[in-house]
Amino acid sequence: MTARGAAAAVLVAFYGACLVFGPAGALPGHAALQPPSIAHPLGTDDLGRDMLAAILQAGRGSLLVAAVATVLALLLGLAAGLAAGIGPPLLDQALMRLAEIVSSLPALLAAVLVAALFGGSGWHLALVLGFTRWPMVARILRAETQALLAREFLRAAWALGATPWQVARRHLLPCLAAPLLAGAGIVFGGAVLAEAALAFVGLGDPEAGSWGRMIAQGFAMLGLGWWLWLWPVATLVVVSGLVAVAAGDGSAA
Amino acid sequence: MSPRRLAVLLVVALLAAPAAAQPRGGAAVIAVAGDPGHLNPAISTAGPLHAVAASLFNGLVALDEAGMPQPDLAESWTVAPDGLSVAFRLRTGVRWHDGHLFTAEDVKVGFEHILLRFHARARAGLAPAIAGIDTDGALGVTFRLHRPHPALLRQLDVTEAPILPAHLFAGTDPATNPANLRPVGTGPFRFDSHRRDDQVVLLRNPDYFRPGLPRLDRLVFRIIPDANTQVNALLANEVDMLARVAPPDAARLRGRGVTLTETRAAAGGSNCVMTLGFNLDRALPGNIALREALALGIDRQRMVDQVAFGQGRVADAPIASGIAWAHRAGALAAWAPDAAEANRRLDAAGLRRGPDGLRASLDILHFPAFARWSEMLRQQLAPLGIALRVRMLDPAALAQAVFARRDFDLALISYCNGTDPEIGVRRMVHSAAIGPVPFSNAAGYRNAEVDALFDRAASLPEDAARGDAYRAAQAILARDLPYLWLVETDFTAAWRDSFADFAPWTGQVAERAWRSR
Amino acid sequence: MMRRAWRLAGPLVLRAGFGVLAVLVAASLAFVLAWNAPGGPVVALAGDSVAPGQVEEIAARHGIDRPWHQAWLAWMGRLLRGDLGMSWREQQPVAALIRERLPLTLALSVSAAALAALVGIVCGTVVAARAARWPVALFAALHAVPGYVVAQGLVLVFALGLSVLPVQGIADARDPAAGGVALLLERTRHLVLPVMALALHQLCFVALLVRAGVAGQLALPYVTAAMARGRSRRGARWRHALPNALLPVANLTAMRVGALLGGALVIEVAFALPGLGRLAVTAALARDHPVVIGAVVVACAIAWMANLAADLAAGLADPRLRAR
Repeated sequence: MTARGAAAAVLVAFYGACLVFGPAGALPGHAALQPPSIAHPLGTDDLGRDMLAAILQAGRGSLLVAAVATVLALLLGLAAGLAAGIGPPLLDQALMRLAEIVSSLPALLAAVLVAALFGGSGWHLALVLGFTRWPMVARILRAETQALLAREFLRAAWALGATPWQVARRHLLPCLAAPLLAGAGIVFGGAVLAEAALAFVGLGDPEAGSWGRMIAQGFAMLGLGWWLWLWPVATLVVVSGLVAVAAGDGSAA
Repeated sequence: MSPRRLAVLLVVALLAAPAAAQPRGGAAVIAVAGDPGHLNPAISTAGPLHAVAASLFNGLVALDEAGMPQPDLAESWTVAPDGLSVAFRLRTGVRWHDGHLFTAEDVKVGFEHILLRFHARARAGLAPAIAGIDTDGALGVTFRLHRPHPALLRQLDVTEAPILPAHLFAGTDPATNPANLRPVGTGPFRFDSHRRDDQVVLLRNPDYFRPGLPRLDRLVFRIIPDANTQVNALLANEVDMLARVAPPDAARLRGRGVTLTETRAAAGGSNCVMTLGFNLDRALPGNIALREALALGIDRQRMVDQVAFGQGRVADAPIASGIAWAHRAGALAAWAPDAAEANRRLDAAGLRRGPDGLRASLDILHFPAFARWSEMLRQQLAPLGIALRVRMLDPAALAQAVFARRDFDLALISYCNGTDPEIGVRRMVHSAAIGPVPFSNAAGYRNAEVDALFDRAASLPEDAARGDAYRAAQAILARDLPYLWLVETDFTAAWRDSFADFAPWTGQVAERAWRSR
Repeated sequence: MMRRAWRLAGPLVLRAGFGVLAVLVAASLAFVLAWNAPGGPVVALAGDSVAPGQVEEIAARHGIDRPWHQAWLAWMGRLLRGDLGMSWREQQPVAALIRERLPLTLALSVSAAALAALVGIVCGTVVAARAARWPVALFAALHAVPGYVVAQGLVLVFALGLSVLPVQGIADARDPAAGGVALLLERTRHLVLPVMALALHQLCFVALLVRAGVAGQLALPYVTAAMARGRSRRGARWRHALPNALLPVANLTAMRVGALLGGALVIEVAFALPGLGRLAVTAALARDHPVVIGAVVVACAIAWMANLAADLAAGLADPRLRAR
């Protein structure tokens, strides 16, 4: 198995564990500030919550934001990228200019402002990220599409009278799966980090736990227990590292 | 020398002696969480603004740590026997920072032109009671009242009614006056500079009317939004004082060269009670059985221990224990934690558990700063089968959602009682205070008996008789539970051991502070 | 002559036009968001307790009681004339507030970007020659650490542990430097940790990119030819492979200016630096809409100009693009 495959498998397993074992709703209180033990492998926090349960629960929030943002960015990027690649030059120009405008908006600033104005919410964040990150996917797809269209098997398809829709579905999409996945990985990783960053500055979703918030609060209580800070930091770093490897972030290969 | 003059001299010497013994000079850096914006404390009641601006100004009276009025700009006062007027004698020789003399005209213009129109609490609490303000020479001011208003003196300190210079504000729009950005006051410190979101620098006022004060040469308010960074800055000796320390941070600072002081008051509020407000207009929170079950199901002592790290007390009455003459001790004693009884009352009221063990789901609104409180509530109510959906809102959004749109089930609010129930309790429970006004009657509670008792207490001259009325009202409130009074929270201030005599319970936090070495 | 001038300047003019359009779109979006945000400026302006009637007075004073399209037209008209309006809370022109903050945010992000580029290029080139995988793994791991965690670590070690660098702020509160060298030194001392925290992520990114690029170039025949002419391996790497690997680095650095501004925001909060990001967040929380919109306009304009600069630089550096 390649490193990418392994990383992706670990990620899926981890987020699966968050969904299955991460408790929904309020976490029960035990004795507060207990160091790691058999009963609480990662210790308990200042309100007596089990750290392991809290980290798994936070994973659900992280997954929600990242998954919704990724799906949205992929759909928008796929539509725009294919249309720009296949469609008439004027459409191509218009879409690429639009992509340029959107991608020049600082996404994190937009997310922070939305959170500050409307209150922290996983859905808001996912929407903001989805609507600002699609140009990256669209650019990748447009370039790939144009390169593919120049290849012989597609020229043959055109010559045989295939409609643009057929070309896109039968011939392009299968070839585009790999770059699409890479784009998805980058959007996913960005969303995981953005969710944590917003929660860190206190603009996260209050409903869901968040590694970012745990890091901020854990640092404040570092004198009371190192485990309050270390576990969420480790989780966030490992997850974002795995996402980068799984997406084959170009540079890391 | 006449014996009387000798006595006066002796008193002066005695008063002056400790002042002379403290070292003079030096700078103090105080961390505050938010930028004040402008520095006119008479047109806004915002906390960050008052934390800084109160050192620049004075009120007619000052309040001591127990909340009792002491002379400030007014040297003395007399209340008329019928309670319908209060005459103040002002201090002589007080000068504004720009050299103008302070006179009765400043008081009249300050109230009529600015405070009663723009300062929210003065406008809501004082304006309806005041019939007119008359000057009597340069140093006499008389407040004429529509009805006896015993809370008046507690509403005239630098937080509730700071006095602004008439020569800069008369005939102008106070909201856009340039003096808001370059303030001129009578206070112990005068304005030097303000770099937004960075710091406000104040310098010693050499002409301050209290001889020998202030002792510090420079007072720097450093704006540090992140509480964590504030604590680190204190530990790294970059900051000398934190005006407000969160309970977990206080635990972290203990024994590290830092003096921690717990007070019931701080700039902008005193006698604050963390309170759970029920939206009585809605079916679920309007159901008394549910409210009783919540009161029985919540372990408030655990909140004191774990959320407040011991800084505070379980609230045992609707009026805070800090207002001792009005407090009804043990009014809430019936609501000790009893999960079995809570479950029984919920069952009896027909709020049965669904297949998932859930009886009801309520939304709870609060400021982001109260996240640990609501987390503890979620934790404690889950076993009762009551789920809380948390909606954290900033002040602007919360005020609108709770008081204008009334779109909430529960609201977790820190209600500060102030130094008189008239200031901070009436607005929570009186039916006249229902409406789109932020931090008024969140519950939407109407009870003619309670209204009558509060109205009666507001018009009696004596604290003893007033206290009886307030205590009667508290018995009704503890039965009706429009709110659940959770914990009386104390404020904690922290300063480095090389400093002394900060007064974190007043606006003028550094008037007497000094630095050793 | 005219046609030649147009061929050179035309694309630029077009792009500038698109830039103005992009900024206007962003400003309108910010307006729509601000206008529909729950709550109003009342609490920030009048304080936590508000008297009856004050809500309406404040709405009328700031024109919030108008229908939204009137307000939008008024604001956009003002924006087109280059006027960003007055802050409601601070009673100052928005442009002045932004001018006050911008230098710090720019200093922070530009130094971080420059540091990341320099150190990243050197590290990337050095490790490109090695077969070992651990440098790549190290950079990839550090790349995954968010800036604020780096900030926490740096504060723990350098500020609280060793007490050599300050925890917060841009100047010493007790004894601020007056000017000249002392001021420069003080600013540097205060910005070292924030810049490092902001730079590390980008640095790892650049290092990985350069390593991959240089390694790729090293395999090409022209490098072999250079070595055949007597260049040392090292010389070939630095003189031949690196310059050709740099183009995508410059481009991607400029593309990431927006992200860098976002990261700067978090760092500004953590280190209590009075920058543009904090201005925007404070204003959004206080519902000081003119400031929110002004900050968005400026941030977008900066990101846009960085993109433009990247394209121009790429055109100058790469003859293939110049010809197009």
